[in-house]
Amino acid sequence: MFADSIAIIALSLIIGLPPLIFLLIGVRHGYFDHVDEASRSIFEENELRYHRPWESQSQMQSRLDHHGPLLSNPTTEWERWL
Amino acid sequence: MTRLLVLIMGALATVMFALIVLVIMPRTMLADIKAPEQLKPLSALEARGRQIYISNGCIYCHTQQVRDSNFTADVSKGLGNRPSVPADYVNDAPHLLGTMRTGPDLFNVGSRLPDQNWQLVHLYQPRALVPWSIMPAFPFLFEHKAKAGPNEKTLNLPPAYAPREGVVVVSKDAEAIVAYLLSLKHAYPAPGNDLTKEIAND
Amino acid sequence: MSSPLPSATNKQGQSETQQASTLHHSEVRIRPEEVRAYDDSSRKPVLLAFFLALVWLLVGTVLGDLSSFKFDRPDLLTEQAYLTFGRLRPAHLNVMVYGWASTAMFAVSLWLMPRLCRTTLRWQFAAVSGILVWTLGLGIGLVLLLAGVSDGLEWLELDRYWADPLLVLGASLVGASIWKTLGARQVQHLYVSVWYIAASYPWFAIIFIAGNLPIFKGVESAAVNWFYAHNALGLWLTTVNLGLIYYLLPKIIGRPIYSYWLSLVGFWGLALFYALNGMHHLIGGPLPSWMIATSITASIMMIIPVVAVGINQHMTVVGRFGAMRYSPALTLAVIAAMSYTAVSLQGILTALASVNRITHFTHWTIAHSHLGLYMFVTLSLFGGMYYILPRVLGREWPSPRLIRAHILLAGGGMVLYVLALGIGGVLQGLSLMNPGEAFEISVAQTKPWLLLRSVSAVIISAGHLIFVYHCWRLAYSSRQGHAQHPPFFELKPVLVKKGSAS
Repeated sequence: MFADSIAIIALSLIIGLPPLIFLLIGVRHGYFDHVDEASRSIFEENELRYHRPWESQSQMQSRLDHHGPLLSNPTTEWERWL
Repeated sequence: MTRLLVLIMGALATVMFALIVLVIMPRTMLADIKAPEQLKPLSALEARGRQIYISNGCIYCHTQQVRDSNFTADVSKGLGNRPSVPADYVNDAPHLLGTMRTGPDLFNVGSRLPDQNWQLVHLYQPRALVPWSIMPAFPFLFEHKAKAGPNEKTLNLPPAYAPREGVVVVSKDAEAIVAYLLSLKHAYPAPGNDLTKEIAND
Repeated sequence: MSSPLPSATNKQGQSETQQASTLHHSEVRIRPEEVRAYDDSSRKPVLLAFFLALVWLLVGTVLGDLSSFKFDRPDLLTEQAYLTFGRLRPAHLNVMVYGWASTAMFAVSLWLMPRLCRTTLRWQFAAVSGILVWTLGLGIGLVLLLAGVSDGLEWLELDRYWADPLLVLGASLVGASIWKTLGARQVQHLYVSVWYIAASYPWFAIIFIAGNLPIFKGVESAAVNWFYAHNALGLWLTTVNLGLIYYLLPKIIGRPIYSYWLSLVGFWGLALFYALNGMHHLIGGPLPSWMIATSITASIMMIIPVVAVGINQHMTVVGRFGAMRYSPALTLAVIAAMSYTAVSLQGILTALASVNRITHFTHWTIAHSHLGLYMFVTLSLFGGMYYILPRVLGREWPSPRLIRAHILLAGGGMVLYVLALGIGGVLQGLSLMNPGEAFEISVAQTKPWLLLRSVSAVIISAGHLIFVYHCWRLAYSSRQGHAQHPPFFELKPVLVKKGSAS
């Protein structure tokens, strides 16, 4: 059957191996060690220190514990988080 | 840079893998299928009709396939005497398998409704023959004239749907699409080189 | 770091460390002026693409409405060939997919990439011309389609010689701008949205070219057709919109994505399994059974990425659903994210042979595709527009009332649509399965549900008109600059009038 042919095996290796190699290189270089930093990279500075009216007291507290004390919202605050 | 390479190479690898499995491999395997003897290639008129079938979007309501009788009622509902197989379609480019049965299946419509006049009237106004039908009418495939020309075919309409004056003349396009519909007959037995079975026995 | 410190200074040391890491983070973080510069760099193509998308949205709405009305009144507008159902329906699909959704997705990706790569948009000219070339290609394809020139494959009807090369060129130009921006990035880490958006462009080019090659015959033609049509949804429409949702949710809520690892699992799972799904559109059909089996298996495997994405997005928002009252963008993004989970699970269910034998060939499929293309893709794009347009234009949306009306009409109308066609489809399928029932019964049973669908189509159209009118007011309102007390400011919920902040 065609699926057993050398051509298919070679083709799969040619297509599949490079990304695997690059993935290994990436892992070795520690590219995936601080993934959570990437998830925080979208926030602007101070963005996480503004008042958000839907949060409960404890939710706000844990946020401020991580990111610093509350700042007063600028008047154009809607621009950041609406 | 490695990050981008992981992304681009990985992304390409996944889609190329799928292309190989679902497009390239089947193409090679299906290349051996021969047309069954009883499956006649379309005549010029029928081929033109097929084009009309495509350009007016018949596929959006009509399928041309009889599904596996193990888990569907297609055969018992009389759509054909057997499920359709790849060999039935070798001449089709593009395929017209369809995905909707808002209207009935047409794989064997040539055997089921072989009357040319019925087909023409049904195209002109489906509700003249099938009162509950929701199929669109195709009056633009016909011409409304005061008098038919020497070689022109006129339509025999029930009085309720006939125009008050003049006649309805069948255009070449209407003739072609009916010729195509009438050519849809797949009553012959499934050909021996049925790949489905071959693979299953592997 | 604090462990070698003497115990006496331990407490102080800890707080220093905490402070240092906070400082470190704020250094990493973007300054608002920077963000404005990124937005300015993409302003032109983004506004152009959103404008064209809105035009296509209206065109597609009219085409969709007409197609729907033709089910209730089959003799409506039958005199002209270009108004026949079989041309309006593919025109509706192509305008919505390539006109509305894809063009709006160009805008979304061109707006997101500079922000995520923290650099200005590169090759802006390529992006602008790409959008124009794409629109030209679609315009030509649409006119030819209505004139009766069709490739005859669902989702690929646009003429492969006159329209499709322009579409490929247009998407490649936009993609070039995206990848150039990505190459010039100033951040080390790639945010998950970058993965989704950047990968979508090469994916689209590959599947679109493969789908349009005129070399396939017979059942291969069907295989390629559904390989493309399914991946157009999975590797193009879904991916860009998931990227957008992955940006909007954390950004609006003010909380990073729940698990970055899950989002990577979701991405690669989707890339691997989605691409193999296409043949489940041909279950029971005349294809080699191993192909269909492969697709059914891959469809079931889709549960991995879908659940990963669903959990991730739900856990990001959970406990903070109150935020939806304040932000229409978040409301739409959350509904879209939930619809993604719903439509994917429905898709997996439909791929099972025991369900498929009933629902195949029925209006259930149409309900399913609208759940995906509207409740997920379109609502996510609406949400994106509610978030992006004020930032690009530097102006606030003029009227909360219009926003409420739009969301209620569009969302409510589509819920009615999906329910009506879902029920109608199952009834139709059961009738088609019953050997004792004439075909007439399956038609009669769907008729009332098709009528209900037309009603919902009118409701949705009203929502679209309101949205386009609101965008027009936003773009041309006389108030320039930043409103001092915008209507959505702070404690004033937009979407629910009463109720206080909790």
